[in-house]
Formats: sequence, structure tokens, C-alpha cells
Amino acid sequence: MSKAEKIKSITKKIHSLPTLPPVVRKLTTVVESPDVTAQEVGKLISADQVLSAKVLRLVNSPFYGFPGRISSISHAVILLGFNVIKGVVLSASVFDIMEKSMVGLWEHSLGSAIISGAISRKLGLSEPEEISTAALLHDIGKVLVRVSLSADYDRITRIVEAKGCSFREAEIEVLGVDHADIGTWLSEEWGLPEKLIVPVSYHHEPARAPRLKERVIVVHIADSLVRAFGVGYGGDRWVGKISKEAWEFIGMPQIDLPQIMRKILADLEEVDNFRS
Amino acid sequence: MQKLSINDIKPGMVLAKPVMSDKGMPLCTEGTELTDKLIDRLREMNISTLTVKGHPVDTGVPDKTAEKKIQEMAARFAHVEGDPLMEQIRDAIASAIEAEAREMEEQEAQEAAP
Repeated sequence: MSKAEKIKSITKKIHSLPTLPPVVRKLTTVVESPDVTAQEVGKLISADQVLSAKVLRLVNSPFYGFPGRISSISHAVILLGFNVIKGVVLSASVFDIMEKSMVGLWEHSLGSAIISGAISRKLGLSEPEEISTAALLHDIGKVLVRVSLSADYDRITRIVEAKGCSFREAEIEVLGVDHADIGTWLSEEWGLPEKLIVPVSYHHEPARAPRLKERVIVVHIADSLVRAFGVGYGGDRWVGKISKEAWEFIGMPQIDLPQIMRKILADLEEVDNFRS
Repeated sequence: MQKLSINDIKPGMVLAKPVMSDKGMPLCTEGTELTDKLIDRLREMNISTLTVKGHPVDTGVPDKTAEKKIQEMAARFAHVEGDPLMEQIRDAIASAIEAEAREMEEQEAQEAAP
């Protein structure tokens, strides 16, 4: 069975997608419209008070570069753009569903977003906010496995414990595909922009990314570093190998490594502020 | 500095980090001295933890030493042992943890000085 067929057969098993609040669905349609304004999007999100508080908290965190300065959703839309807002709203809603049981993965995702922001800015990459948002979403496939394929999820976690292997290796053993494949399918279902989907798809295999390679690599590196720093839980406790080619491709050898690690260490304390 | 539950906060303690609202907006700056009134206000705003200067409360649990943190960090690299790039990264993180610990010590020494 080809990979595409496997994903198809898996997604057929999925009867219930994580139910998203209606505002997210509306948002997805609204931002497609060419003449939508930031005010309209702001108004739509602000109608859901709990969601808008969460979104404001995320956009005011240091990984977006405007800490403590964004006071309204429409202001956030203007500063960060529709893609970022869409990604943030989706991740806030998805992880809300999982709040209690997957807090480790939420912190892993927040930490990855923080590290991606720090690296992107250090390297002077364009649109660091979108790269952070892609990092926030990179393991979205794991949420789907947990919510919609819970028997498989339990088998995967048992294999991780018994063998001491990575979550991804166990996923491939059980499902034949990994969370990057499943996350890609889900992101397409949700109508996320390509700039956010490609890093989700290739964060484990940056060499295979057909486009947007720099973004993919930043997320690939952040996923490994957040584990090294011991923030959150990505399904197993192991630091994954960073591809040397990828590391060199985006110019990491030219930056002062101990210095950026010191910055990341300080920035990561922010993750604690989401635990309340 | 020490991170405390708002229930352990007493008037006179001084914030070592700013306090943010649940929407990420700053409420109090670093260096603010806490009063009964302020503590009540923060509680009303659902603030659950604060970071204060010094080490005013003995929680009975000693803070992890830098050495212990580095040891735990290095153990997570077990699957990539022998990879030169990964070892370089591991060592850079270890030096960051040491630098942070030194900075904290200096800060506490300064706070203790009259």
C-alpha cells in the first residue's frame, strides 16, 4: 500500500475530527475573501471572549516580537497578518480541546515556537512570525492521533515505553505513516496556507521539502532543541538528530551558539506563563 | 529569585519579574513592592504565580543545581551520541545553563548586599 493509500485508509477511520468552535470555521472562510478587513476579522474573533483572550496572550508572548503591546485582536491582525492569526486561532482551539491530557505537547509546541522565533530573528529570515506559527502547529498530527485514533495512540505510547524508541518510530510501526503525514492531511482539511503546511509536512525530513526550505529547517531544529532544553513532552524524551546539511543550509554555523542558547534558555521561561 | 503561588505572597516582597494579565498585557513591572491591596487585586485578576526577589519562602525542595540540570539535559541526547554537531549543541546548552546559574548567583549576592 502506498503512503497516500495508507493515509486515506487512516483518515477514513476518523469519524470525529476535533470539533472546532464555529468561529474558527467562519474565520477560515472569511480570510479567503479578497476584500476582508482586519477590523472584520478582529470583530469575528472578539465575539468569542475565551478564544480572544487566548489569542491575545499568544500574540503578546515574546515569540512574536511585540511582548505586552498588542491590546486588541484587530491590532494583532494588522501587525501579524491573516496567516499568523489563522494559525494561532487554530492552535489555541485545538490545544484547548486537549488542555488537560496533552499539556506536555502544548508546552512542546509553545517552546518550539519560541525557539523558532529566536533563530529566525537571529538569522534575519523574513516573516519570523509565520515561522513561529508553523512551529506552534508542527505536531498537530499527534493531537489527531490522540483524539481520533485513541486505540492506536495507546499502542504507540506502549511501544515508546517498552522499546525506548521515538514516538515517530512507533507511529510508523503502528500506522505505517507518521504525525507529519497526518498533520499535513489535517492542515489541508482545515484550509491552512501552504506556508504553514509545508513545515508541518517536512519537519522530520527537511531535505525532502520542495519549497520553503528555510522555514522547514528552523522548525526541524526547534523541535530537537526544545527537547534538549527539557521543555514540554513531544511523545518521547529523546533529542532528535538535526541534519547537518540543514544546519549549514540556513547558516547556523555562522552564529554564536552559546549566545543563542542563552537567549533561548531565557525566552523559554515564558512557557511557564501559559500554565495556570 | 523565587517563583511562588499567590497564596504564599506576603506584603513587602518585591517582584523579580513583571506580571502579565491573562491577555499578556503587563500589569506590574519588575521591582514593584507588593502590598495587601495589590495582592488582592492580582488575585481578582486570576494571577496564580509570581516571581519575587530573593528566596523568601523555604519550600523544603532545594532548587536543581546547574550540574544536575546539565546531567539531565545530556541524558536526553542518548539517541544521538557520537554525532559531532549534536555534541556541539549539547555543550553550547551546557554553557548556557552554567552562565545562567552564575548570573543568578551574582544577582542574589547583589540583592543580599545592603
